[in-house]
Amino acid sequence: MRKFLSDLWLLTVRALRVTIRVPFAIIPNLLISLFFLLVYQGGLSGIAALPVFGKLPYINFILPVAVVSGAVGGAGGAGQSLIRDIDSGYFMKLRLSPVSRTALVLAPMIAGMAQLLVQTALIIAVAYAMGLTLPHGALSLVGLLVLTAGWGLAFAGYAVAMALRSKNSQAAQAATFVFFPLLFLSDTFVPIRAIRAHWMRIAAQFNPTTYVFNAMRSLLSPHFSTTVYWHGVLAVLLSVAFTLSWASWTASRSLRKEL
Amino acid sequence: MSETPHFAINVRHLTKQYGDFLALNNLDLTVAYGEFFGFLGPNGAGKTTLIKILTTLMAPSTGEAWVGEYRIGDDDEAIRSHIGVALQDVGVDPLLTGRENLLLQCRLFGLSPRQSQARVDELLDQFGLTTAQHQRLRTYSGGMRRRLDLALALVHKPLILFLDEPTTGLDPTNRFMLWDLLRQLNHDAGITIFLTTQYLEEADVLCNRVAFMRQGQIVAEDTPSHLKQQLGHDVVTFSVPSPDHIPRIEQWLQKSNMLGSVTGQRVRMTTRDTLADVAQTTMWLQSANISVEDFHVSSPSLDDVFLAVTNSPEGGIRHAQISE
Ligand SMILES: Nc1ncnc2c1ncn2[C@@H]1O[C@H](COP(=O)(O)OP(=O)(O)OP(=O)(O)O)[C@@H](O)[C@H]1O
Ligand SMILES: [Mg+2]
Repeated sequence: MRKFLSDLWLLTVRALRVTIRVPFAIIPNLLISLFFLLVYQGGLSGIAALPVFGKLPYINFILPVAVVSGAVGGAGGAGQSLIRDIDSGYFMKLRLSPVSRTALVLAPMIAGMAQLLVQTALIIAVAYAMGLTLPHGALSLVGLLVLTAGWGLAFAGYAVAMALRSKNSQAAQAATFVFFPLLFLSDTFVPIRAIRAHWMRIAAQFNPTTYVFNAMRSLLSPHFSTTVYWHGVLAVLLSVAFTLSWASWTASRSLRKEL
Repeated sequence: MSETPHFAINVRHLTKQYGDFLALNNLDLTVAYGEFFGFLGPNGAGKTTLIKILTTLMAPSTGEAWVGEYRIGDDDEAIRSHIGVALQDVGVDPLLTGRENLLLQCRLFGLSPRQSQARVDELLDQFGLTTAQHQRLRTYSGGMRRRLDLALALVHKPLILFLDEPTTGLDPTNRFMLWDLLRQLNHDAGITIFLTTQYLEEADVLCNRVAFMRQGQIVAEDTPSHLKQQLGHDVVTFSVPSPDHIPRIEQWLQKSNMLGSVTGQRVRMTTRDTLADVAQTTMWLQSANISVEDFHVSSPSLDDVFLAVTNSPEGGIRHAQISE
């Protein structure tokens, strides 16, 4: 166990160090999230006057979208860094060391999480400057970070599983396109009641992101609902359980074959 | 199944199939502790495949193998901590510096931070990388990367070393330096070395025993000197100034039943009776009005063994004719 933790620590530090050395892999994603924040706030904030928003500032409504898109992108970086290691042959070198196979795939995910938390903090800071209110103070903040990290972890599991399956950067990149339906087939811009298209409302109900958005929004609204928050946490936990088991199953299968 | 742990490497009826393709065909092989073993064969013979199986990177299709006392598939983690491996394709982190690569490797193999620093200094010095230690790997030349990759294989002073074409891409100076180092590791430290190489001179100089692979099977296995003796006969080599002569030479080789091969503009013939064959050859060359350069008569090298065993239809040591 001590060996496992020490390996995990060493590999995570290394993954972070490498991430910092290729800032071009992080910065675009951060910029896109900030862009979402600016553009949606700038272009759509007028609709917050609609009664369905219940007097909540639009930035409080749209912030979760920016945060989740940043989380998904940041977590996708875990898959990207794994692919980079497979391409450079370094992953093979790591597989030749007596390091736990779990640590091998967990380390890039943890590094992805760390990256995502920093990114989220930045996005929240910018939103705060743009008029975000935190009706429950630190609780809002912590609750938001927990949900983001969890949702990011779920996506990191998915990204790592895809990376191990495809072993090629294009395919792994293509796999991150689920990002779009996940992010947009949901109550992304308006509350679910205000979505016109029937099929979209159905889709939104099956999309776990919807529950994450709602939980985040509940944290950012004066009418905090524990039920809504726990639904969000549950959606995150189920997704994490699903993608992490998938990732570890893929890892145990593909690490015995050739990579 | 219990197996005596007297061998460093023990391979039993090992088969590896990639789809329908048989890369290793019912292979049997043992390497004793302390041996310097050369595993040779043409491209695609299955050398890398065997190394990947023995180093736990890949599972065999059928058969078994032991590395030291550990069985492949059962004790992979124990195997990994006892062996050092440098694969055919260098595996280094291009974004870390040379020193960082080595330090991480030391720590992953269980050395303490303090031990790691000392070991890294030692290896950097041994591989002539001290001055470049703080540069990122992506600024290293191919040869420097290769050297770092080899240093990575040695951090934990492994008992058994697997090297897949370790000198590919090294200039002669570095190659000879590496030869010395490997000899030292084998002689002084008693490390068992399992090496593949395309440079047969290297195998001849370094290895106590070599095996030649062909199409997933071992077709000859012995000490280099025995193999050369078995081949027996002297070798005549010469070059012709123009490729235009080659077809005529090939025709003549066939007609006169000479055992020869042509590579580019270079002709290599294995004699049966040195004097008679040399006389016959020079006479024919004169009558055909072909001038030659660089005419040599020499004892056979491992290259000749290689050509003989890897090109004959039945495998085994036979004289063969190839053309390119
Ligand atoms: N992952 C793979 N999938 C399918 N075929 C493979 C795979 N890896 C190797 N092969 C095939 O198996 C055969 C043996 O390959 P291997 O890499 O072991 O040869 P080698 O002796 O190391 O050759 P070289 O001297 O070129 O390195 C080759 O014909 C190769 O095409
Ligand atoms: Mg090979």
